[in-house]
Amino acid sequence: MGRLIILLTGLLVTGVTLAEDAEAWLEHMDEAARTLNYQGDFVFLRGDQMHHMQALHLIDQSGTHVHLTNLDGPPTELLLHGGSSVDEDGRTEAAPESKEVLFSAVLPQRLLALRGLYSFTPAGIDRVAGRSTRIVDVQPLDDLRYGFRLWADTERGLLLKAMMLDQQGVAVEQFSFSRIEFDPPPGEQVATINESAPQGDYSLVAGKKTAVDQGDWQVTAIPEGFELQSVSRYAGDRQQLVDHLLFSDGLATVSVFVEPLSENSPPVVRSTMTTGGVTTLVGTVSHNQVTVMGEVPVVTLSLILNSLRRTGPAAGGLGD
Amino acid sequence: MKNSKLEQVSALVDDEFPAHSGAPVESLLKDLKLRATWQRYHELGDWMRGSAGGRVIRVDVADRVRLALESEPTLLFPANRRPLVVTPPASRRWSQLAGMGMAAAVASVTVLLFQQTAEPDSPAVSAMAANQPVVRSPALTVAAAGSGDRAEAGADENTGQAFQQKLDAYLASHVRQSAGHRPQGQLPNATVVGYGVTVTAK
Repeated sequence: MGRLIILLTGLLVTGVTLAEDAEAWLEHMDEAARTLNYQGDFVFLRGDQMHHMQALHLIDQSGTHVHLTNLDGPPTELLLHGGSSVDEDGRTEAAPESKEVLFSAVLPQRLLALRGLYSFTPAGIDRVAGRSTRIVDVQPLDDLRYGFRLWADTERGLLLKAMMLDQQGVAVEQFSFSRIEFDPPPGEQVATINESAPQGDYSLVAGKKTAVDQGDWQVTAIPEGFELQSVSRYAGDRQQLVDHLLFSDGLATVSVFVEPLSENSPPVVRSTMTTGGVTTLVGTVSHNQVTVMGEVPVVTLSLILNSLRRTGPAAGGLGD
Repeated sequence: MKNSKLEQVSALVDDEFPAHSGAPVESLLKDLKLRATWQRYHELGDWMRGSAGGRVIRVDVADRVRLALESEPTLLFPANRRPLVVTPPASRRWSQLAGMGMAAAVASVTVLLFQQTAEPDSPAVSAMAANQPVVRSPALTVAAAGSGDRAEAGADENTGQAFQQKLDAYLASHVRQSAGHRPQGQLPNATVVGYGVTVTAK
């Protein structure tokens, strides 16, 4: 009996140690992403779509400089300097909440913020972009969100590869560096960034929050961590007003579109679809077509759709 | 056929046949097999020198393939069979939505692979699913509400062009509004950035 207790205690301690070790690696990734200078090429896969990107991340006295270049399709670049940005009118203003835009920086940060909703487990070692990495598995504690598998550079801690996995372990989204260079030589790279002064017309609209007002609709059941980010209304294809509610937990977003059905509208069948990493569920609530879509399992979409209630004068019930 | 006669034919073709031996030439050309060989050697020589003109038979592979295909039986599929891959002209509509040309991120979702799947069993949906028959059609599986007939009609409606266009618009709006609310390995603002436009912050 005594041996059994010792064994169980040992296993428990080992488990806690492993979890602490995995969480320590996550914190290491977060710190590395915020403090390291690096440049490299990475591939971003979402469903059957693949993008090649080039990233440069530099930190100096004036702040963080990020230069992202799309290597596929039309040439598109993103430049961020210090802690400011230029809005669509060309005015300089304070940057959005997070000036980090790189996957390698944002993912560990947001996972740590939601640590109560996930378990972290070390899952061995691997090699990515020619470098040794430590693998950390991030499993959701419910079945309402996707899990992750992360590869951190053993020496420097930077997140070099990440997969978002569904409940069957199938990758929904993944990103991986194919080349990484730490501490790139200053001078040329920095000069390139600093000389990239604003020119021409600009379009930078992300990062601005619309005034949050739930309008006529309310979602009464939503997974922990998700919060309403914005509500917007626009004309649909039949000049019907469509309400759009956007929820996010910092890792995934869920949109709820509500469009009134007319008397002559054909019946809407409750159905699910998947494109890329986005799953869509269509149903009806109080003679409204409701479309819920996001980077979450269909169970989560169903939970949200079933809990949608009208809060206006013509309040209705649950989904038909 | 003796090799010596073939060598004589070859020499004749190469204009190396002795000029004074006229009789053997006539005897060679009287032999139908040797005459055919002599002609084939000439055609090959012309073809190799690129001076075949119209004498070398040209084999039109495309025509032969076309003829072969025409002789194949026609395969008939049920009229209601729907393709799994749907490629709506989404980019144009999304451009209108965003008020500008769409860049790579949105282009990445213009080819839509809508795979219809049933919702999985879970505590959250089990009660709902209990009263919902599963209707199967050749290309899709839909967890449907109501009677089978009504559901099947609705399934057709759900996969119609108007429905797909509506989903395109919703998806574009979702992708656009999601930027800034979730980690992105691609350009966070690419959903609203036009071709060649550089988003610069300084």
